[in-house]
Parts: sequence; structure tokens; C-alpha cells
Amino acid sequence: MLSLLSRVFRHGSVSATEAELREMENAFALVLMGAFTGMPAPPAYISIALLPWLERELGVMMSRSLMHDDRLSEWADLVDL
Amino acid sequence: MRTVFFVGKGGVGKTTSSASLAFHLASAGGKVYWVSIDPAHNLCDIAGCRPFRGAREIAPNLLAEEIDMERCTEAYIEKNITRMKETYRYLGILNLEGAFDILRYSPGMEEAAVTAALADGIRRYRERIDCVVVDTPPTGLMLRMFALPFTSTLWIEKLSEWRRTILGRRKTVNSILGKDSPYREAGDEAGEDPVLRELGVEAERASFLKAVFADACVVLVTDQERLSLDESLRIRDGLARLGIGISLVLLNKFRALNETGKRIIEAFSDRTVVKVPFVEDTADRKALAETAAAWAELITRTE
Repeated sequence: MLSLLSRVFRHGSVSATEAELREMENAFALVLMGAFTGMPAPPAYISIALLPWLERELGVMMSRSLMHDDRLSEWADLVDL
Repeated sequence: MRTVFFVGKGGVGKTTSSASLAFHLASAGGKVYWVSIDPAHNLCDIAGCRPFRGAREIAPNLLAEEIDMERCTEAYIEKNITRMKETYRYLGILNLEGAFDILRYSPGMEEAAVTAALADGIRRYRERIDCVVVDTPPTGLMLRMFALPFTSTLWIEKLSEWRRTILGRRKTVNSILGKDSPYREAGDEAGEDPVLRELGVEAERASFLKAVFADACVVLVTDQERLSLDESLRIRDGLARLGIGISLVLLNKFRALNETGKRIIEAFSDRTVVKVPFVEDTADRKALAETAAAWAELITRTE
């Protein structure tokens, strides 16, 4: 029981950090793809050199774009509703 | 080791001037690496040899190389496509080859591939040569090549900073959640992060090129045409924005001074302007070497 409570509290304590981390990973991938999205982007060769190592960040970016219209549930998730 | 870049409008005689210096220095006993990064290179035409891949000694003390922009770009992209295919193997059902093909035509790829090849060439031979003589492409591409390591550095610094923050946050989450952390597999150590490692490789290359450009002697080649003058001024201003100065001006194909020639001398009054006579036969290596005798010393003197 105590262990379960500890896990719940630990998860609760980092949920905001996790949300921030997700946003940072999303934005990092998004900036590297800037040339395709019309954002300021680093020289293409830098993006290309990094792409093979950004599987996770690209996954986050894709899921964030799918969730783009569902801000309410994201907020509800963040405040543990 | 001295690096000399020949810049100027297309057709003014950059390649011929670079050949003059290369043959002159080599005939005087200096070890020279003469390299063209112009997509429309003609080092072999001037040297009177058949085109070849890589660097080759075409005369005593003279190593020459024509960097093939298309092949460099292709090799650069291929290397990354292979790595991406390994990472994103599960996307094989999509036309991954077609998707990555778009990358070949991304702006800036050619400059990146050629400057990387130039940096590699200079690194490879710097221990055994005294002078690198570089024949550059026409102005637009040349300026983008010079600017690339500067803009890249800004991006690399910001991306590295950003990446370190991401790793720091991951570390926080991992240390609190332990084995329950969703970031356990993602990695949080800066020393082991492949993204930071790649950024480090690119930062090192950009820094090497910036040092090469900062120490280089830039020779502006022009003739007495109005368009050449206009472009020469644009080159001077473009390079000045990157903190690169012109060391010497060659007033090429000189016969008699005209009005444009006077304006060129006036515009570059703070630089030495050398009048270089027209070389009738560019295949005559001896004549080419003699042409540079009048100004080669000015380049070594600017060291």
C-alpha cells in the first residue's frame, strides 16, 4: 500500500516536469524539421546529421501534432483530473 | 601553412590566377595543394591532364584535386540515409527512399558537402604542404560557403544548449521515478548522447573552417569590366560581414588602364592592386608560374 502511494506521489511530483520535457522534445524535433514547416531552421545538413538519432523526439512530435486539437484533455491530464 | 582563396566574378580568371600561384610556388620548391571547389572546375584543363578523382601529384611538389560537388553531396546524403534506414526500419512500408530523396534538394546541402570535403582535404594534407591554393565557385555560392560555418556555429550552440536542458530534465524524471520512468531507455547522460556527439562533430568542423577562413589570404580577381567591379564590391562587403578581409586584388587580363580600372584601384585603395597581364596560353605552365612571380611574394608577406 505504502509502495503504491509512494509511486502515485512520485509520479505526481514530476508530472509538470514530464509535460515540460515532452514540449521540449517536441519543439527540438519541430525546429530540426523547420525547413518543412516554414519555421526558422538550422542548415539542412545539421538536421540530416541528427535525424537518425531523433526517433523518440519525432515520435513525440507526431503524437503532439495528433493531439493538437485536444488541449482540454491534456490540461486535465496535467492537473490529474 | 598558408591558405589562399581566389574569389571573383565568373570568367575573370580565378582558376588561371590560382594556377599561376600554384605552379609558381611549386616550382620554387614549396609543397602545394591546389584544390578547386567550383562545380564547373577546370583545373585539369589548365594542367593539361585527364580528369581524375581525389588528389594527385600533377607536377613536382604540386598536389591537385577537383572536389566534385555532386559526388560529395551524394556521398553525404547516402551516409545519412543508410543510418536513417537503420533507425526507421519499421517505416519501410512507406516509400522511405522517396522521402529521403527530398533531402538531396534541401537548400544548403551542396555548400555543406563541399566545405566538409574541403576541410577534410586540408586536414589530410596540412602536415606535408606549405600552401593550400583554393579556386572558389562564383560569388553567390562562394559567399554561402564562407558563411556556412558561422551560421552553423550559432545553431549548433543553441541546439546543444537545448539538448543539455532536455537531458537534465530526463535525469530529474529518471532519478525520481527510477524503473517506472518512461525515459529510462531514452538516455540522460550528456557524454553518451548521440545527438550531442553529432553536434560536437559538426561544431568541431565549423570551428576548423572558421579558423581556416580567419587565417586565410583572400585574393580578389577582377578585370576591367563594370560588372566585375560591381561584383567585386559585393564580394568585399559580403566577406566583410563575416569578418574576412581581402588581402590582395589582381587586376587581371590587364592591357591598358580604363575608367573602370581606375574605379577599381580607387575602391580598393587600402589594398595592393596588382596589374596582371593577359596569359595567352594557359597550358604553358612556365608562363603561368612567371605571371605569379610579381605578386606571390605579396601573399607570403601578408602572413
